[in-house]
Amino acid sequence: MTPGAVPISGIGCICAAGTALEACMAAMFRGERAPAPPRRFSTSHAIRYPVFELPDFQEPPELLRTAALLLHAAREALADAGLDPERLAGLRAGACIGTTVGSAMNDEAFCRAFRAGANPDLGPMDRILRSNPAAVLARTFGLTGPCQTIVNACSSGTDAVGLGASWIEAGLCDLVLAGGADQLGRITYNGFISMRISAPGPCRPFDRDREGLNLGEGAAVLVLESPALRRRRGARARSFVLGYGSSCDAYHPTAPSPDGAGLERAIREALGAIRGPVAFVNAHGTATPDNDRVEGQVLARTLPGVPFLSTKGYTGHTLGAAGAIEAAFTVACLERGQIPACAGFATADPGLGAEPVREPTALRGTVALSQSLAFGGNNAVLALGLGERP
Amino acid sequence: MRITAQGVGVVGGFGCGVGDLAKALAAAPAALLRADPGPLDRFVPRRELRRLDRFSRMAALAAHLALEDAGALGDDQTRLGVVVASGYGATGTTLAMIDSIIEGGDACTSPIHFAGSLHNAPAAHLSILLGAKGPSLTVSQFQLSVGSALMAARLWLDQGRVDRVLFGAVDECSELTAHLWARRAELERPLGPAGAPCGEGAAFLLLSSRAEAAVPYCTLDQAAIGRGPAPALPAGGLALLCGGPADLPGRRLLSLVGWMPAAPAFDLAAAALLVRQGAGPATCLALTDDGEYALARLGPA
Repeated sequence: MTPGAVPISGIGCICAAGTALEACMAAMFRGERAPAPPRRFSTSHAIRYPVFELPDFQEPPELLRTAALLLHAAREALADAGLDPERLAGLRAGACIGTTVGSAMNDEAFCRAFRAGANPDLGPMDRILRSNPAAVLARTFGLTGPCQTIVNACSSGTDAVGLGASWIEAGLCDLVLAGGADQLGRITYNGFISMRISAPGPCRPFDRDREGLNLGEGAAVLVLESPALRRRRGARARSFVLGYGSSCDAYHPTAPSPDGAGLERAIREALGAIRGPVAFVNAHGTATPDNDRVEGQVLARTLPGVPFLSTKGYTGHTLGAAGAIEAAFTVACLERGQIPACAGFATADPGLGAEPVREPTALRGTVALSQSLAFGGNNAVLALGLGERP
Repeated sequence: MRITAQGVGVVGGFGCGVGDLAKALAAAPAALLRADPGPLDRFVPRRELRRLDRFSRMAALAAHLALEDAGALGDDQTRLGVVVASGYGATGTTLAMIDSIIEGGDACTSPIHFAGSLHNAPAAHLSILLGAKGPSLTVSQFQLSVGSALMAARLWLDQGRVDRVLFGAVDECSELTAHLWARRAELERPLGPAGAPCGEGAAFLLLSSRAEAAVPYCTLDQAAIGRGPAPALPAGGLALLCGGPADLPGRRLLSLVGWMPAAPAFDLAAAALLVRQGAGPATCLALTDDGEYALARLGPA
């Protein structure tokens, strides 16, 4: 899909790199990252696999942490866009949000009590039913337009921004809160360890000696507006969604297709009719052997010489939030005219044919890609363009 | 753009396939709770079936039935889009994964069950089984899931991203879901309409924007979701309802499929069938307790 430049007028972001977008960017350009064993929950694994956690963030008891993170990011995004949340109810506004755990009926304590033959308190399950991410935004801000929670595993956040832009393009909405959110917890932590793709130390995206991913948590929300509403409000476009592409490998439930053909198709669809240089690619770069091999080879083949990085070395893999967080970072990097170093990368992998940036790098060009690969064989790519200067 | 429903596939407590659905619509039997995905082995080799849990099998069966019904089973599916809705996801497999932790400790978490517990597992299996390499989308927002997914499918066709979409929904009445259902009913806070049984199953439609050779069931004229006053039902014509006030005039299929978040997909399947049988245009309206609505309008082809 090649939407006709959907404006992004506000961005909010929270993750281990910072509790607001500018704080995240400053931390990344300082090269800061602090993966550590989980502090909010414990497990009995012999190895204390590190994660990127937000230990000081506290969710209210009535909501899942995922929904609370999302609300935090949404409020920052609305403030950034100069929008009064009270006024959203008067607009044709919708919400398109990606997640993986935000609608999963997987409360461990409840299930343990159920298995023990008890009649457990329904509170935890009621909390899940109250916390569907897109519905929480719609309820909180009185949105009357379409509302969609996307559960495409790790590409959910990218898909949500791309599909939200398509709603604007199709005239379904004047404004869309698009993004993603996911929380860290024991179930996900155990699940990724069981699949043997969690690293025992800090993750090393695209590095020859990469050992797997570090999980993270967070949320990001982008305010997408119709050109007409933006003109009426006199709002500044920080960026534009210029294109979105997605495809399915149809290869394996949890492994990417080795030929990378699906990712290539998604890149081509996202770039559409865009001409001119791609300034950089914010890659998925989970630091798992399979993902980085396929992604590196595809980037070497399709966008040779274009600088790329993975920001997961600063945030961990935030799953359904990742695509939205990385889209937010992509916009902020275009605005700064530079990208930070690919944290964790040290030694080039000769099997990739390309290597990410080793240090902060100045950009040439005004278009960048942010891409995600996911369990299920999903590939999703956003083409984002530089907006107006403040 | 003219969008048509070319094939319908269903599996539920009432049976399997359009024929069983037609019989159930005519006879309105009391709902049986369990769906039988066994007939999937007609389409998928048993060896490959081992990878699919019951939840994915129900989806795969309904999807294959929809393609078969459309005469499209052997077609090149390279550009096929897949859109799947589920209110609760694979709750049986989710519980099985947690069982593996309870029984064996954290280090014994089942990777198979973890992968199968992801909401998009059925879409992934469908794409692999069919070789569908177009865009794939899974949405989950409880009672609004089906309407939301249908809107996305329609948009993809309108925008020309694909010219066929395999659209459908699935939910299961697992041990966990059944427990929640019963407990909420006891507390007089039912998950669905009061007194409705907990249902399960899958319903899929093959939607197309192509000039198809086969005669379609109906056209899909509108698919919308939102929050606020429910859209007015047209006077005359067929109305299929899910949720909302009991006195709204229209037909409800609770007695056929039970209640589940995926239930509005059965309304769509039934509406497509009834429109083809000459019932005239149909409106499917799903309403949630939170003031959300999903609306679909189907017309004679």
